[in-house]
Amino acid sequence: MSRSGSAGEPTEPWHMRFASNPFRCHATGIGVVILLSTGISLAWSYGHERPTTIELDGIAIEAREAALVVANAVAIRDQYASALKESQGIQERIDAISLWLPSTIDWETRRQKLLAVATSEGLQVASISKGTPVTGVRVAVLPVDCEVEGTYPSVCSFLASLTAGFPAADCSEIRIRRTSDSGGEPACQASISLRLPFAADTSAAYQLLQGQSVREGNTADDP
Amino acid sequence: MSRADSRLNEQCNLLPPAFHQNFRIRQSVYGWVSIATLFSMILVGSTVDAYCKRLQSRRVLRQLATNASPLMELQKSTIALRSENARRQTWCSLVEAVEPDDCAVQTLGAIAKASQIDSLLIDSLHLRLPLEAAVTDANRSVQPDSHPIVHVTARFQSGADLSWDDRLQASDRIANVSLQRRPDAGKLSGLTRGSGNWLPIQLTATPQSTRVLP
Repeated sequence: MSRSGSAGEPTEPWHMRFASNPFRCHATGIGVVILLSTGISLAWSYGHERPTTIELDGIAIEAREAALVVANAVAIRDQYASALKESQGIQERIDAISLWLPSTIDWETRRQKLLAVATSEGLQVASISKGTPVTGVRVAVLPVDCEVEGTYPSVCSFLASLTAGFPAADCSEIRIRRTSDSGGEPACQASISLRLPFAADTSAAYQLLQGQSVREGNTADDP
Repeated sequence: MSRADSRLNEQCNLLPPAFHQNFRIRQSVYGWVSIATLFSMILVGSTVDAYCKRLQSRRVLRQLATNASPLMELQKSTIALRSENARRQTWCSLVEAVEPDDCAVQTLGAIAKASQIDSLLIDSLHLRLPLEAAVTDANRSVQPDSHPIVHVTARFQSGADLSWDDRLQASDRIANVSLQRRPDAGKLSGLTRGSGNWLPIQLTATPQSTRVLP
């Protein structure tokens, strides 16, 4: 082994330059060992490092979250079953609501029905007129005014039939005036204000029956 | 020291000092190469082990993620369903509260029952239940608009014991009963029954409605 650089002498291979003297040799050896030790420690840490996320179908899933979810699988299924059961219960309530709450009102049909009920209760109908539909927070209503004549019990029966029948109606106001007193049941004249509810747009009933979301804070559309 | 060693020592002493230095360096190089080879083998082993472990943990994690994925979807669905349930429940409660009931009929029935007095003759009856006000507020709350009222005009035979207001007050459907003499008493004519003087009276009360009509 000879030093390089002098003219005419064979050139020393580059890797032998590290061993040209004891100091270089030991320094190179120590350096190589340090490098290898670093590599070993890196390899060890790479092997023992647990990936925190994994990508599945393009979605990054946290390992800890995934482990937690798998550990609580039974509870999660129970929660879903409970929510589903609750949803079914609500759906039953909605179905029950749809039995008495129509989504629209066919005025002519309702008018004929009111006339039929009044006649069957022994009342004489002087007039039936509808007002302008009003949309409230909960439902929309069609105001209807009825003028009928008959006995007090028959007026009460008429009102009872309206609230019990389908589609149901509410009586908001009634004025009864005695017209004759000729023995037996006295005759009277009644002005009845009815409210026929229906599920119009923007009301809670409409959102419920249509399964849509209420437009929060939008009061400009409301009548 | 063996004979061979001592012969080598003698030979070395005869060699130039540079040879000794090269010999020691060569020995050091061999030593370091051995150490480096050992470390390299450890490095290769560690790398292969790390790679295998990494592969294994990725496989385990992938399996975990595969198992967790539908559960996470279920969890999201549960949250969405609960939120939807809460919203629909609120709407249900709002809408169920407006289901038509027989409040007016019950009130009329209560008045009729309390008015079954021979010495009493009812001329007119006005009943108004509370109505929901038009939606103007940002909170979309249900506010009553009209004041509920029961107003009855009647006559009773003078001298008879009239406990009409007490009987009405006893009813669950009517409150705040107030009985007064009618202001139009002097103008009354026509409707009469039996004999004696019939005194015109009026009664005002508040119907006890359980809800605000839509």
